[in-house]
Amino acid sequence: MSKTKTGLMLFASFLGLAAVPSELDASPMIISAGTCNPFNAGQANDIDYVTNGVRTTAASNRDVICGLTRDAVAPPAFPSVSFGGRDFNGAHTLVSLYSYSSAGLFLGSNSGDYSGNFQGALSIQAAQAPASASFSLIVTLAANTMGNLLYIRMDQ
Amino acid sequence: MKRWWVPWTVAIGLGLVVAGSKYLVDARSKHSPPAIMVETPSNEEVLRLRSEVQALRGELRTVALGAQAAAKPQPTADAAPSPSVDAVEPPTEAEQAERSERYLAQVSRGFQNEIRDRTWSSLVTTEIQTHLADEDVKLTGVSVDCRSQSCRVEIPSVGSGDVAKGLPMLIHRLGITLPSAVGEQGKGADGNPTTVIYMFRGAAPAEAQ
Repeated sequence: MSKTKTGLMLFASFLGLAAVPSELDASPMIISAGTCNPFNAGQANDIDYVTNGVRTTAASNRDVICGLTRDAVAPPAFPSVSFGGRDFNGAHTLVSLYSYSSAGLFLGSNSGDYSGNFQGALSIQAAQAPASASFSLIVTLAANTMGNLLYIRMDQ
Repeated sequence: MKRWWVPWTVAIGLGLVVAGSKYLVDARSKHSPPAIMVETPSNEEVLRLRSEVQALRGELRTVALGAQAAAKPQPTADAAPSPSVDAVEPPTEAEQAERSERYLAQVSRGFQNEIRDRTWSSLVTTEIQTHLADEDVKLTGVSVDCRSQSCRVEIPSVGSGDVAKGLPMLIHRLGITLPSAVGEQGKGADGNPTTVIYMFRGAAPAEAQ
């Protein structure tokens, strides 16, 4: 085979390789807070879901729980969760992140209080977040639709 | 003379078009912020930067793995495993359990060595006891010991109420006063299992090296 042909074939192979996406480029998971559920099942009718999140129509604050998706094959060494929302008329949103062992035992938590157009982030000590741990958020939504949780992002 | 280069030129041209369009589609989908964020330009910027950082991390990881593979000596019958490759492996379950145990011992020692601030201790103990009686917590038989930076809360696993429901809500209700917590399983004076929670007025202690 001539040198020109060999060169052209190598070039074509290179183009083909460049077009293949890298599977190592793992992305964080972003979910709509509309996937959250009422923490107390009896208050299900107080929680109102919108296309970009969750709020409560009740006259007093309500709590929702949001399960978090985590990469089981390569979980992050220092698990971190970020989220965003919007509060009106001086309302506040209290957010707590929990880690539980696969046996259902409490391992650790971290909480934060937010207001206005907020973006927050919480993490758990790596020692209390083994690869087998699961995570969830409890969020207190301000009464009368004054607090909206919009999205949750789990860094992978 | 036969024009052998014509099909090659066409193939390469097509390849370039396919690779280029795929690259553009990938780049657009990676850098597009979610629809919920389009209302606030600053959020868009943050999301775009995050996506870029994530993409750079992925590239860095690819380069690092390539470098490790290149640096790895060819295996021989008596060759020891390369420490650089072992370093990226996640800890085993036993290693993780040992790490957690060490950390909990450190937290417990820290609490025991903490002096008591009578004013803060009294205020926070009252707040904890108030929340223990909340409708959505309702935990009884709980012992509370607050010092100057943290509190130790011990909840019997039997006969204290619905711990699975009440404990996370207790932690949440105290989220402003005591924003971080670490938990371990213990044994009460009667030998029955208990859940011990160390709650901190700031961040939980960093792991000792």
